[in-house]
Amino acid sequence: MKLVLTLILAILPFSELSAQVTGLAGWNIFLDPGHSQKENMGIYGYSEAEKNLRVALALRDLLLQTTDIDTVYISRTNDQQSVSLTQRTDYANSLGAAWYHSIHSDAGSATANSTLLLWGQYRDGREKIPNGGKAISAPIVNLLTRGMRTTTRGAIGDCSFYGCTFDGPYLHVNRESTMPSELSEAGFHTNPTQNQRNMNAEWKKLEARTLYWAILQFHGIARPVAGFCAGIITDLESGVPVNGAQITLHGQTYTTDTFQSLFSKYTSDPNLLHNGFYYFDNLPQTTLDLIVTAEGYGGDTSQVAVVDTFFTFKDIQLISNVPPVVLNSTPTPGDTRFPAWADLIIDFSRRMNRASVETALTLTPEVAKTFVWSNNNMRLRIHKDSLQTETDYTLTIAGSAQGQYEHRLDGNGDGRGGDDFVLHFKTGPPDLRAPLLTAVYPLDNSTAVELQPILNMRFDEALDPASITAGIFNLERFRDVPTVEGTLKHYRVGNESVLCFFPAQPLTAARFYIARIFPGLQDGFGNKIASQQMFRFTTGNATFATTNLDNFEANLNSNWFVPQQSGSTTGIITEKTSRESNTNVVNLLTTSTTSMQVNYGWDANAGAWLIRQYLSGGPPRQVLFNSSYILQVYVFGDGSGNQFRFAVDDNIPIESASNHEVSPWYTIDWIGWRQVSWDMSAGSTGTWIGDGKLDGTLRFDSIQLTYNPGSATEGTIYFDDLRLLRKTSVGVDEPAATLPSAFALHQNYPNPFGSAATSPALSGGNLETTIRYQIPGERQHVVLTVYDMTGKIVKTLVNAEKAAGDYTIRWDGKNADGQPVASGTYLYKITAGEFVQTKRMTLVR
Amino acid sequence: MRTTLKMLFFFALTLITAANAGWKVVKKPVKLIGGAGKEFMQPRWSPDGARLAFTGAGYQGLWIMQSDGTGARQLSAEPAAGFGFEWSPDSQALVSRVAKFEKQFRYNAVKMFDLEKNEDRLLSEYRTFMPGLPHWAETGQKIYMFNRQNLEIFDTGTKALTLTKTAASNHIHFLKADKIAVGDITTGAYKVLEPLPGQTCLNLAPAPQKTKVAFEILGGNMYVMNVDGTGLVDLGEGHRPQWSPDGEYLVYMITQDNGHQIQDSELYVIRGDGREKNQLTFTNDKIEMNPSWSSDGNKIAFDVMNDGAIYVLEISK
Repeated sequence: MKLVLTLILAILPFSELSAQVTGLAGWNIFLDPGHSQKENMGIYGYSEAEKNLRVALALRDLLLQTTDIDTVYISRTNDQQSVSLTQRTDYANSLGAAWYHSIHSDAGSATANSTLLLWGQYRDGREKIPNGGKAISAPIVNLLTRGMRTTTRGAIGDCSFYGCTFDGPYLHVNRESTMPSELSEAGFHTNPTQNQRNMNAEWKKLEARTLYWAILQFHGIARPVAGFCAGIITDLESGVPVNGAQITLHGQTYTTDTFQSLFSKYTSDPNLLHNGFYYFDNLPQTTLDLIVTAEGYGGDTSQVAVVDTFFTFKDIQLISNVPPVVLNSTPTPGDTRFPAWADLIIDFSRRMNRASVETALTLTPEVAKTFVWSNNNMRLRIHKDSLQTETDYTLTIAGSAQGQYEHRLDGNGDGRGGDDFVLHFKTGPPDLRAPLLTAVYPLDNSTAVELQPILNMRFDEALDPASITAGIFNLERFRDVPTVEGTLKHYRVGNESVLCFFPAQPLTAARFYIARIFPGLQDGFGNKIASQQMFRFTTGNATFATTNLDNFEANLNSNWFVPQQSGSTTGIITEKTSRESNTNVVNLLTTSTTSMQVNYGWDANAGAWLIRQYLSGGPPRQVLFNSSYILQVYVFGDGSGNQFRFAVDDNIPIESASNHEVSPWYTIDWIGWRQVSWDMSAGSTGTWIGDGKLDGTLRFDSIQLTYNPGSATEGTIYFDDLRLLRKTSVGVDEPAATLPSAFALHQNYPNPFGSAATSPALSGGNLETTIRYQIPGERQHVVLTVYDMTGKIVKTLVNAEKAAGDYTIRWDGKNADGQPVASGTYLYKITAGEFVQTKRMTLVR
Repeated sequence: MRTTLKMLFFFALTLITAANAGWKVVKKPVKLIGGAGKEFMQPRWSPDGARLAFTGAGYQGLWIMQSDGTGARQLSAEPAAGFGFEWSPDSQALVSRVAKFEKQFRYNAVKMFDLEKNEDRLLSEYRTFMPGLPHWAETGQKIYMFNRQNLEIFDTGTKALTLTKTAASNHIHFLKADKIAVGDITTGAYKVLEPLPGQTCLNLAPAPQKTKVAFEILGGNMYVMNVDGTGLVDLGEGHRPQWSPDGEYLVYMITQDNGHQIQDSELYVIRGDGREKNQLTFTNDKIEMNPSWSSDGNKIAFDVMNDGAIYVLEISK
């Protein structure tokens, strides 16, 4: 080792030799560049693992070349090795290293960026033995934060930071290393600015240098003369770092990274990546001239006083000499469906002189308008009176418009200022909004849903029937039946549409179902629903014996009065009120081919309103029952807000007007088919002629309608499959409904999930995933948490007492703040009493 | 109730064995010692099978106990005492490289723990630079360690064991920096083997018969090699190998980590020639690590990292 060190020293420049630092003899350190290969990819494709390695190598070189340290060990030396955690600590422990430092960067949201030091800590709060990691963390976090020019979360014990479920320390490198240890996080590789700077070779020397200085400080060794100057070159107006800027200082020239020199490794877009970073070392402690030039910018000359204690940071802002252009416009050129009522928006490449732009702007045909500027005068919003629909317009900004620094507008993008920007567009039709799903049945997340529901999806405007394709809707029995067979039927009711799905077979008891409406439905103007709609429900487990009263297939005229035949009917407009058969609007759950159609017209000025649609005879009137039954009928609603109810006669065979009893009123606020039930055993009745009690033997009397003042005065209601039900059993035919006998955490479904993920049941993305877990025996406090791969909590999904049962919980890929998290692998962990289990899932955006 | 359910789940999974021929678990694991607030790890059987030595979290301290988990006794509380400790051939002593820290500096020393006399003895002075670990020579009279540049031999002051001499009796094996060295205790001479040139070797484990060694490559797989450098066998992914008493099999662990924490670890057995790989543990909620094979060949001691406890399970072929 000494021989190697001697050789290294022999080839060093004199300046380094003269800076030889003593005081580290008898000491050594194990450097651990965290992760391996290209693990923990940064937001722009430069990984944490690559950065960590280069920082470690730079720090190793610094220590070996400039100090009398015994030696420096390192856990990996290239981007190919995949070194496990146990190998890292086994190697350090085997060598008997004096110190262990693990080099990392952090991960989180794109806006987060700070430093962090994590020293080994036991669960009881004490620092790990041997001590030392906590003490060195203080100078490291101070210098590292200053070097990275960001904020810090401080130096924290790892058990305090993460929360230990065992004695600790939390981090493996702190837990299994036999020497003082700590782990540094130098900013966030998920932060765009930090990730682009991490790509720069010299930027990583900043991090290494701060660690080096911290080690010297910890050992009480004076820091050698610094003599560094570094900074960021940015565009004054946009704030974007400048690629290819040339910085000259003390006879040296540094060129900031460019697409050709660096960024092409990470992107094919030549304009995407920038860091503007420059770096000089070996500078004298004096004031020097700093000259910056860059293509497309005016040059800058300034002076910098090089400090002797730290990096000398000097940022420079350059003023572009490229004429301003229009980057984007709303509408885009040639748009033929621009909303007539919307604002026009112009985004310029540079800050503009507002008065010159407003003077130079015309909109033809002319319309009154006002201007709102934002984004440092780079965005112009033109607020105006509504334009005419389906009309051609032209917006012109004359070449006399100027930028803030008097560069004239380059309207045609030819690189020369002074020419006009011309935008032609056409306004669209009056309706540019896609249909809106306003109601569903069953309600989202409802439970105990009947086993033969008609799924009902109501839209606020009429759908284009051509857009209702075979794959537009899917009902899934969660996990095992991707598609439940059935018939999807479209009905137009007034200005609205409803889609009704009739399952071909009864659903399974006590199971979770997911209904999805895929993008593509559109209105008559071609406005498409762009996102997937979804609602979920869980079926009940009750089964019933059914007795048909009337399925309306035959004998309608002989069995049923027309409304006017009943003396109770009142408040109607008789010519608009009728009863008839209908063969188009029928209940497809059964073999129905005919329904009973009731047309109504209400006299809003009447004092009372009732249609008694009376069952006057035939076999249905011979059916007798009692109050232990459920009366049920399928009702095709018109969404009018008017009301309907059942009426029965009680105390049969005694015939008396006072024996008429009724159900409560049901407000018809839906359109399309809906099952309506009156559970007479529950004892709930309405008020009419009878005493409100369902006494003795019952017989069906009538379906009744009434006007709800303020609601529609005309409309049509359809009825089908009037019947009696009686609960026979609580049927459970699926293991999932039984109480679990053991704890379980199941694999999430779908997996992967996210907008870019697909599954057999989906043509689009799965915007959320479902996690199923089982709790046996006694009540347990259950915590189910999503973690990222660094162990940080993303979101706690469950934190509650749970009885024994089979549970599902859904995660929408957002963190606790409601922000979408990045694509990647996540862990979800359940803790229920002493049961702990962790699984992985993948989010693909 | 909950504890019972949890343990049944754990044991049921552990009793599952691989379909192919080889070693299988025949009796559920028995917890010997440890748990929250008194976490232990890294059990190692004594050569006579009567005792287990083990350490605490972070390899701090050294303990022994009877093989049934009774009679635990602490030998040392020193940092690093529990890393790389080694039983003497007669099971009457242990040797380890202990450490102490003064200010920022680490000082290492070789220490022998005599269980018969219940005393410990420093064999070296404390030094800041001691990159090798101490090992017992076959007869128990000497301890050797590769130091900064040389092979260093310590006299234990104990009587030599009476052994049936074999050709390999005088063989010694150690890591010289990141390479494998094979030598002779009587002469101190050794040769350096580099089974995968340019790669760093670690966790060297000589077979009891001294004819083979197992080791890991940093950032790579686990291997077995004859002590003359021939017969290199790539055993695939694996860590911390330990030999069966007959030198035919290895027990080891395969871990999964996220760069911050170990997330899972299971125990495996494999023949030294790479055949008959069998997984011994299958748990989702236990992190089984650091296996050690008993001298009667029928038991595996190991620790569960997230329990902080030491267990023994019984196996057979």
